[in-house]
Amino acid sequence: MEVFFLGNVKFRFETELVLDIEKVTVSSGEVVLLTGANGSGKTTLLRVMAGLLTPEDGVIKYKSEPIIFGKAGLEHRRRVTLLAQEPYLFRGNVLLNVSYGPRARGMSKSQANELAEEAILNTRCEGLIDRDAAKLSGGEKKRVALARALAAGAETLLLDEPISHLDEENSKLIVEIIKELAASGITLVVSTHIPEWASSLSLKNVRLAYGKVV
Amino acid sequence: MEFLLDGFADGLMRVLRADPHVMLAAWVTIKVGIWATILASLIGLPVGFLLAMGRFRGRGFAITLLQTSLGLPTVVIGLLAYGFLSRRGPLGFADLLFTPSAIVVGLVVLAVPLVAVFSMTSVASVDGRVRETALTLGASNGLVAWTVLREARFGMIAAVLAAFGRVSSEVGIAMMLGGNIEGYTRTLTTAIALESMKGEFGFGIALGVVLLAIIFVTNLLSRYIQRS
Repeated sequence: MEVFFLGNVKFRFETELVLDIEKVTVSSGEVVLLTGANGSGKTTLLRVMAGLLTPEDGVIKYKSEPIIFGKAGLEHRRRVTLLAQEPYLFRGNVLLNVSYGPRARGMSKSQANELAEEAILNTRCEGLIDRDAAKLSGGEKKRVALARALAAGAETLLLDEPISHLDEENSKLIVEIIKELAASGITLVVSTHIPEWASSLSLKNVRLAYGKVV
Repeated sequence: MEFLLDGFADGLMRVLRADPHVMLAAWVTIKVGIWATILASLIGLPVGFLLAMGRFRGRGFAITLLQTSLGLPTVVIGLLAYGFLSRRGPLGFADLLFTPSAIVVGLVVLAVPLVAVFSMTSVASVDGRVRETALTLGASNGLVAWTVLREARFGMIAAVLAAFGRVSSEVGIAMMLGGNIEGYTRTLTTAIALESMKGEFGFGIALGVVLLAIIFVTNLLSRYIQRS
């Protein structure tokens, strides 16, 4: 089943056309790798797919329905979650951060904490649960942000450069978690400018250059 | 020099033995200060938040107006409020002039722009990723706003404490609207002005020490909150 359909999508920063996508599709349970050099439009494309940026032109459908952008697109934002390249962790401890998504969906504190704890275990963050989010290392922050995105319960995860700026150990951990996610059947769109690490994943590769699919 | 030293010694003695005149003025200062800060925060915090988060027509003008109001001389605020509260003024029916409530009204006018501008700056300086993170985690518009507010909370508390420090040390409004009635509307600052004029330098020093202590504790609290 096709989850994402993008056709003739254009996005402009001020006057510069930074995204000009003729066609990209993503099927349910598929792992799509977005590759391309820095500045090729990967982040912009992911933010458009997440409903955070409104394109100036084109069609973007999620499960055959045109997506609604910005604040009005709550339903879409609850189905598709973006993990930013440099994720922001809210003030407070790790559990508070990871339980944010379930709480945003109106779950009780105990239900939200249960989901959060499960996501924390899946991302090997169990030792961090009570830690102050502001005092985590870069790798720990990324894993906690991944746990938070997982706990939110989205159908599709958009991961923007998940292993950038990480040491070898943290990169390995994140790759391992992504492989487990892929095996679990969740739809993943992962951007990277170093695609080698993803070679063992069975995936579709979409290569971008100057905002276009090449 | 001897006059100064005697004044300081007298002042410290009065503080140490908790001179009832000094304590009464301190109590009035704290009381009107707290009320004015609470009321100014109820108005200023939402205004600051809306100006930082909202994008509407006239926003720039409203910000300029608020920033300009920060420089309003307190005697001008006192004068205008006096006009409104005096018997012949539009609010004369309330019979508030020369009561602690009148001082509170004037201090609220003084503190609202301060709370609004400081809280606006605090909300505006919240990392732009907060809003986007909340959105992508499925937060409703209300929760997004609450999340931004939560991230800015220390700055907003600091804005409230700064307002308390400002209203506690104000003299023009308290003098014009309160009338400096001992035990009723005499604050530390108006008492300092009066006692110094009478040549009671030591008394003035004692009042000044208590006032400084109040402001010092407020700033200490503000610093502690910001650091935590």
